[in-house]
Amino acid sequence: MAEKKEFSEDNLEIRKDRNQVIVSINPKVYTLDIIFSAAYIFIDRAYVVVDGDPNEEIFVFLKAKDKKTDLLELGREFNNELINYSFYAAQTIKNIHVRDAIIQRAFFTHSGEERVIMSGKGRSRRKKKRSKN
Amino acid sequence: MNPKIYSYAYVKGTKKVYEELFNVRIEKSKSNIQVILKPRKRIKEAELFDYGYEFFNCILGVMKQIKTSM
Repeated sequence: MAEKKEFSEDNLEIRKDRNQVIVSINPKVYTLDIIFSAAYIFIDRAYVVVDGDPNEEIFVFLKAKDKKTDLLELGREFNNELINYSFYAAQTIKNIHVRDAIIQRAFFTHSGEERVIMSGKGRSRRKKKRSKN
Repeated sequence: MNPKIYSYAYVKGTKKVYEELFNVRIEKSKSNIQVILKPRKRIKEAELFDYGYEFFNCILGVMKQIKTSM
């Protein structure tokens, strides 16, 4: 028997009898990594099951843990989280060179300090000053 | 579950989390991964469903843990 579809809007399909909302996602727009990142945010509020074909269409089943949860809002929030993580991923790629340069600089500076301490140059300079006095 | 979505390594990682409460068996084929949970102690049928659903959430937790540690 076919499932009773209660309500659907855009990419959301609500099944109130199961206390569940199904979010359909185009994997060409959002990668599986982004979908998992967004899904992780919801694990305290809903049981999250991801299904479908990563080349065709992905379905995210959000089954609310609390019966009073607004399912439509839950689905919409999931859509927003997808945007949030896509933006984060895009920014990370954009800034990767700058980030690497900063880390490299930090390591370089640190290793330089270490060399000065190890060679004991500071100590020898101090000794020279004392001898002059 | 679909192995194209949930890779076997993550399912195996989640198995270790569940082993305290359940006897876990994983049956793997090319198009499906089946996880059989047999409770070590008596659990109500309604709760058993929740534990089943929670397994998927737990996989997401394991994924997050592994990805952030890399």
